[in-house]
Amino acid sequence: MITATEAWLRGLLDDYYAALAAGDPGRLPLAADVRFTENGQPIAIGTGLWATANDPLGGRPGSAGRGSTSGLVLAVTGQASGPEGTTGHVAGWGMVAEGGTGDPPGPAGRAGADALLGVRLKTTGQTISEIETLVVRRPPFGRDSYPDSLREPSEPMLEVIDPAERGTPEDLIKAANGYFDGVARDDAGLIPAADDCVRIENGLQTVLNADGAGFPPDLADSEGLRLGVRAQIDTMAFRYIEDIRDRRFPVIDTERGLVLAMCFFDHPGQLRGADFDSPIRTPNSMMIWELFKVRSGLIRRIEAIGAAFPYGMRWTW
Amino acid sequence: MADDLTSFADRYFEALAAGDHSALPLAPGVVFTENGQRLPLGKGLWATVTGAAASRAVTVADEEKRQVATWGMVTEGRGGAGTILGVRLRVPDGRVTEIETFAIRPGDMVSVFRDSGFLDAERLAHPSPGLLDPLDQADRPTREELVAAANGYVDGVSGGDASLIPVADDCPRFENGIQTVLRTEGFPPGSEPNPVTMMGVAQQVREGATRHIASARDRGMYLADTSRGLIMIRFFFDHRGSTRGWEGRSPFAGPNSMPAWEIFKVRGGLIRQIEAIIAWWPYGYRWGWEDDR
Repeated sequence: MITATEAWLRGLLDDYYAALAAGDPGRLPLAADVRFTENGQPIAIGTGLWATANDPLGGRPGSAGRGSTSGLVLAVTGQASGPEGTTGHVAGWGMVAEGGTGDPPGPAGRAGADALLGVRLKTTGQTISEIETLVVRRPPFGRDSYPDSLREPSEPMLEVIDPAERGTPEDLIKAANGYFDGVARDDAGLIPAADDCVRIENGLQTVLNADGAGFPPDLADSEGLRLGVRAQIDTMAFRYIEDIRDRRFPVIDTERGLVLAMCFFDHPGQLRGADFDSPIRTPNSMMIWELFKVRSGLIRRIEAIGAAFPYGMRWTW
Repeated sequence: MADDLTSFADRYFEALAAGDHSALPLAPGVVFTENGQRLPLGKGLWATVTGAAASRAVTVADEEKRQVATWGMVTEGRGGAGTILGVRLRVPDGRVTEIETFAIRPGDMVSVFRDSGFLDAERLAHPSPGLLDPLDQADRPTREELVAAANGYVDGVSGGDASLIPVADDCPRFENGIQTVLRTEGFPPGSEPNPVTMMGVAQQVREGATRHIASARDRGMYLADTSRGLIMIRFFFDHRGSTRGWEGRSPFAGPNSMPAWEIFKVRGGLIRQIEAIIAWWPYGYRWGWEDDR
């Protein structure tokens, strides 16, 4: 039986970003019936970001010497045997550039734009059978650029944890669901998070960030930013989040205590007659990939990427 | 009977203004979509709407298909910012069986062009001048001619072939209430007039200004009113973005798909007037009504 080793899976994700930058999906070991989605839409491989991506390193300040995958946050599972044979799962995210020529370098060339790309791969045997991508094409929280931290690996996420502190896949999923239930129902008691749990969303730290680092001035002094995950719920509540639905947990790494959740945050907008102000005025559904690090039953770190789409959007997976 | 269909569109907007869909004559099992997503009636814009304009920019009633489609302005949320709302209703026998809506929120988080200001709400609050005027009997196109004209337009624009477009040289086009051809005034202050918007429909295509449009797919609706020379269709223009190795210029770095509802007024075999409402959604997005041709 062919074994999808962890190193092979990690390398495959690297290969994906490299093939993308070269615009050549033919470099990848794709299954004949591989499924591909970008932002929830089933499209042909080679279209979407595949047609616009270019080397994210070309002419970009501060990028010298970095590999195209240096910013990847990784979550990996090893192999699993099932009716399909041996399958593997790997996911991660990092920065890419699209639409730019880089030729000539600098402002004279077509500038292009940075985008944050999440990729989930499923392998069957030695081929890639599923490719799911989330492309965040607008910097977070009104910024005009993405935080540099998204160009570096997230070391805390990659740390292997002590066997005695590891949970089962079910434990990890339960912790993630506890978080989602607590946020959706405004009940901090449901959330098994450590008091010092950090949360990073599209590269910005949205809890325990007393000086509002990374945020534009109009948001940096917001009271909630200095609070922790649970305290935010107790103090502010997220009443503008109607539901966190269609949750999936496609990639789990028990050695590192990682579970990757994918879901939609429904924001119904400023509801008529509501007794609170919604920061999101009109309806949308935010597609979120959220990675939880869980140790000894408590969430220690959360990193997420996401973008807004028409309200009610569903998975095609 | 067409007036009867139009009255259902009126009632829909009246019910919206009141925030109460229970007043509508709905068939059991009525299907409701907003921006391609199937939702329970009462959700989406129904839950946020705070007002609806009494008059609308565009309406077409297709007696043969027993459908009516229209668009106009509504307001949502506190402060009542403007949203363009397109509504298509199927009313086979006095009860509404299908409600398809297209809500365009130029300032929302979904649009690629957030805060672009690509909206003239004032213009969309009133019937588009001349659009609904009846045609002389001799000038009326057949349904087939209307379908051919609409298809010729989207084929020509997406294929870069102006010869496919049966359009008069003086044909105006308004998108989200903004004039995007033959423009002579009203340019944004402090910036050079965009020369593309000063061209006519066919000239824009001849000059390559639409080359960033890769295809026009998932065409549907095709609601026709031959007495007024009107046909409305919906489709997506796929924008591939600034693709590698392409010498042309796209307004977009990344890919997106532009949903459009577009109405054409056809007289004497030529398109005389075009109105459209458009947005920018994920590349490859679909309407969810593909069976409806």
